[in-house]
Amino acid sequence: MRSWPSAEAVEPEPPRWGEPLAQGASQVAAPRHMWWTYALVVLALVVMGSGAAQALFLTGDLGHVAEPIACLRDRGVSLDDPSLRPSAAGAWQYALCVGPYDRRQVVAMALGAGSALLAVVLLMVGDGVRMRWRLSAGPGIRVATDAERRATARFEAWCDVWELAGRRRPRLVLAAPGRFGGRAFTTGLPLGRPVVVIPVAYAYLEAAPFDVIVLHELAHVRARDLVWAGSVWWMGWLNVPVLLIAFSPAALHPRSHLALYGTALWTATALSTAVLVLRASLLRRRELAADRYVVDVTGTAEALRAVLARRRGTLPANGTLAARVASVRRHVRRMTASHPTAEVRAAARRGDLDRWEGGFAVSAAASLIAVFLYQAVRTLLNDFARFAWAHPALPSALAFASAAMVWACVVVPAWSRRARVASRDNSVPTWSGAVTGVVLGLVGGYLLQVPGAATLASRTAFRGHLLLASAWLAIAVAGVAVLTVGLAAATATARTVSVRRLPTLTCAVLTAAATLASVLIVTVGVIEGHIRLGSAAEDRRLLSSLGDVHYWVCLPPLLLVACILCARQPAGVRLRAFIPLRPHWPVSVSAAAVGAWGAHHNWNTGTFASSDAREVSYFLLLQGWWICAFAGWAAAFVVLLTTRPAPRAAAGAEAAPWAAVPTALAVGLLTTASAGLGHFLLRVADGNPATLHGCLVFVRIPMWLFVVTAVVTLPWMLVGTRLLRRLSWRAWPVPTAGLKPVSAGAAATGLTLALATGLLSPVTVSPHDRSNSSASLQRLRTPVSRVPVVPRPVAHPKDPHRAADPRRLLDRTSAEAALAGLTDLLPPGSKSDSVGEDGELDITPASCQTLFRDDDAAEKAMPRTVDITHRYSIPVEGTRSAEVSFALTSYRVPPAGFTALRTEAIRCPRVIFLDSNLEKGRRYASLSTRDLRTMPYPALQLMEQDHFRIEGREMKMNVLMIYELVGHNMLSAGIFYVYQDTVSPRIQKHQQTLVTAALHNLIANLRDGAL
Amino acid sequence: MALREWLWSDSGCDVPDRRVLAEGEACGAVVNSETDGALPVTILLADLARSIVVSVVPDQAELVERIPARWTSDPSSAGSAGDWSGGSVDADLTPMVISEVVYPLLTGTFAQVLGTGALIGLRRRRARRRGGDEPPAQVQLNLDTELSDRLRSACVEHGGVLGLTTAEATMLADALHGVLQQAITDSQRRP
Repeated sequence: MRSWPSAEAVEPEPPRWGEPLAQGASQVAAPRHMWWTYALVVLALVVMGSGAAQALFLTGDLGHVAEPIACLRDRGVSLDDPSLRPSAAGAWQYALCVGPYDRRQVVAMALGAGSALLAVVLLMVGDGVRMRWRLSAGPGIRVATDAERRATARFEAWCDVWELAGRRRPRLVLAAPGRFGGRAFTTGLPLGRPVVVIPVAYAYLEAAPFDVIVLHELAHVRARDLVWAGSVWWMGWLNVPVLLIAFSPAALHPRSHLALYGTALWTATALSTAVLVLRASLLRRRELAADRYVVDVTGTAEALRAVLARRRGTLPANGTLAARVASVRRHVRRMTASHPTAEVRAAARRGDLDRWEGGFAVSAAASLIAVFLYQAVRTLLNDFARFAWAHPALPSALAFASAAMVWACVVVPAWSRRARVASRDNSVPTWSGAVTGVVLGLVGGYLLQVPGAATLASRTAFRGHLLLASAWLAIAVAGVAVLTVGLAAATATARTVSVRRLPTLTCAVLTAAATLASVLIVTVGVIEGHIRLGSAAEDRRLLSSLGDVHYWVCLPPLLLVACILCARQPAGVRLRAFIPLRPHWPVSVSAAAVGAWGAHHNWNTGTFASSDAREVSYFLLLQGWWICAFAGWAAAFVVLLTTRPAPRAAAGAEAAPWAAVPTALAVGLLTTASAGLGHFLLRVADGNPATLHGCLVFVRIPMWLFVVTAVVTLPWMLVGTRLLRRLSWRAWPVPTAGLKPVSAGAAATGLTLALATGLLSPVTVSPHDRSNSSASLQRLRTPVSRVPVVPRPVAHPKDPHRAADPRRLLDRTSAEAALAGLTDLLPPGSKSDSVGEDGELDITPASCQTLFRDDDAAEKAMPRTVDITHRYSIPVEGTRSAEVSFALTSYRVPPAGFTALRTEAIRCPRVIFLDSNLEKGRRYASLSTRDLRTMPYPALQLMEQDHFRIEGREMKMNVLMIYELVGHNMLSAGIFYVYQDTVSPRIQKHQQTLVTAALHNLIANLRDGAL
Repeated sequence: MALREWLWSDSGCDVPDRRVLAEGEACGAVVNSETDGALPVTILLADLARSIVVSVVPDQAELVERIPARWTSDPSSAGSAGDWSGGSVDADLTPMVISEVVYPLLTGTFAQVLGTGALIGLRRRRARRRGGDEPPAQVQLNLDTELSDRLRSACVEHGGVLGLTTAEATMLADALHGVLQQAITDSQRRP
């Protein structure tokens, strides 16, 4: 590609019609393809489609949710508390109950993802067809005049220069005057032949402005800008309508679902706006790239500037109201405009696109979509219930890994190009925007919900600690982002041997992906553990152990390979040039020796008061490994501090030591591994067994601890490095070679002392961590809620030793006596409630109110001898209130069955009770019934799940009633809990047990002839 | 509706059937300026535009013949093709073409000098005549040298508003002035 002509350069003669085209034009490369936009668009559509499908699946009840709920309730397993994992047998039951439902959801998600992709393709085709129709509908121009003939010939000649043929060769349409706003543009069907539309008036211009227009459009054609521009456009506009369609089945219950999906709609709207703004921003950069292409082909910017000159307007005077209003309008327009201002275009700077791609917007978008992909993949894998319960950590780990890979594949090359542009311009790139974009994208994406998705594990897990958890996540992610900046910067400044670019970039991408995946897994694991247990000891244990089993093991070799490939080697091939990190060996050896000796000495001399030998051993081993890790950190810091900028770097490059980050980390890893190995060998020399496994443990765990330390401290290390460099450049102009290992050794010694004396214990390891961690885990196993114990039934209802027939018509005395015995089932502290007439509430829909009223009237009209109801308030921890009711009605004519109740549940599965005591005066209820075959007499179970608001809080109520028809007698036992958030599965199981036991005892009492 | 659109749109112009304006037909306003000593001159804006283009860029003579008809017949297609279309990429490069800019330039120039009130009054009058077979309205000026000079100055100013450089606007204004001067001369020679 030619260089930008300087002001002193002689401008070439303007081209004339009929003259040959510019020489060397065929050598000009087309603007770079935007492959990453295709990847992100496809992933975003998949995520968007799967989210909408989940919403439709839930609102339309496509999975028949009552089936798994009933199945789980029968088995005493609850869906409400995902943190409590059932036993192995329970897991199998869970898989059996939820498996079919989850499989249906997987199918729905796949269909949703495919539908979203298909919809965008169809819209793009429709848009292309519409444009084609518009082109053919109006009065066309027959190429009749000389001007039009020569314009057509010149357009074809430009196409021939780059040998555009087949579907890649655009077709020229000369638009009649006044059509399409008198503007030139490119359109076409996806994968079809592009159409370049140019107003016929431009054929009457000089050849130079005509060439500018044609070349600009050909730049778009060669860069294939149409496809991504169309797909992003439709993705932005499709998001909210698709969600609204998915929510449409919930229109009957807008309030209940608005609470569930209101946030999703707002999120979708914000994301769609962001997508369209991002598209406009990207289009502006593509316009600049197309303009740059024009300049490169024509060899001059004058023709482009002449065309642009007409677009420059005059601005109002500063300070006036008109100027302020115009400024605001300009600002808004600038964000949404698809073209830069004429002034910016006239400047036609090279590398604008590369700089922008490595900036805030693309980094944030890639991070957000990557984390959304994590959510979708995790939901998908969790839906394979047997797999998820068998390997509980694997769905999350795989989801994080795929998200990290997507993120690294987009971000690392983009950042590398940004660094390369800066290197070419001899300037220092700024990375604050890019790092901020990654932090906001990853943390925000983790906390946000994919619009329409049914569950959000992160928000549930971080509940109550959202700010603290977000801050920790941001710190960890910032560390990874800084490491990635270093990789990208090192990749960009590597030798310009093309054969080495790809492997270097590949190593950088894999390293960044492995780091991000392992850091996210560990950070989220530690945060969730802290929220559940609140134990610092357990946090430290998780920090040192979680990462030991995940992807980080890929990190050291990748980092080393990347460093070898990035290393600036002298001309010619010398063997020693391939020895990794050769200049930093003294630093590494010095720090590793200090670390190994310090760890071993700490093992021999360190102790604390504990009767548990394993606890002492655990503490001293971990402390030794931390000492090795800190020795590596000291070496890395010294390397970072003393690595000089490249000779060809700009004058200010010493203030930005990004490119030294991979080398420093590789030195740190090698140092840590060496220290760990030395520690192990010293122990072997003391008589400990020398096993390979032990050796690997002594190397692997300190290296992981080094990664943790490096990621957390890397941003601060860089800040410190910059400050110290500025200071050292004044005080010690030339850092001596001998000073480096001494500094590393001194730093490692200082850190070893800090660890050994317990200064760093709060963040590394404390003496009683092992016992404290076990105690916190033991607390977790203790149920939080005290569930009342239900005594076993007095006797089986069909006990042959009982004489009386429970189906007989009862008198009041017998009925009271039978009911009185049931209080033994209630927990201590239960109180009897007075039974009054329930106030009749209005119900929506009105047809249900009529049905309920008619059924009540019919039931009350039946003649009876006894109708008794007893109610009790019972104390249950974790609920706002709980109430139990036992009722016995003896009809003179035995009732036929439960037809009325079944009909009510079928015809009115969802109703709204209008209750003025509640906020907004509404209580939303879902009703369902099922026959109970396990009871000795015909029985029906009625389940009601309500939700409403009191005191500004969303409350839930579960009602469970069992009706049993025993001859003349209708027995019923019911229980309801009002609670917030969730209720333990044990309590839900208690509901069923208590009610069933009450009915069993009631029948047993009725059989007792003595009553 | 903007003045330019009104003047050259179907509602403001009596050109039927969206056809090309023929010689002798015009679209515009009748203004009777009662300037003493001024000679009444009939100016056809289409002829005026054609004359200016031919004098400045003779190559575009065949292009300017097409423009009035298009200008009046397809107002719906005045918007950009790519503004609301995801599948089009708009260049947003609009080099100046004299033939396309001459009509808005003349419209703005005459409106600035003669005012819009008379033009609107004409519209009413012409609307009353639409039922009959009367010929289309013509631009009639009591043209003198002073008015010609004012039109030239206005043309330069309005050219700047339209994005023309001062040189371009002056060139077109000079051409306009020349045509008007020729019209004055011709009318004075007329018996």
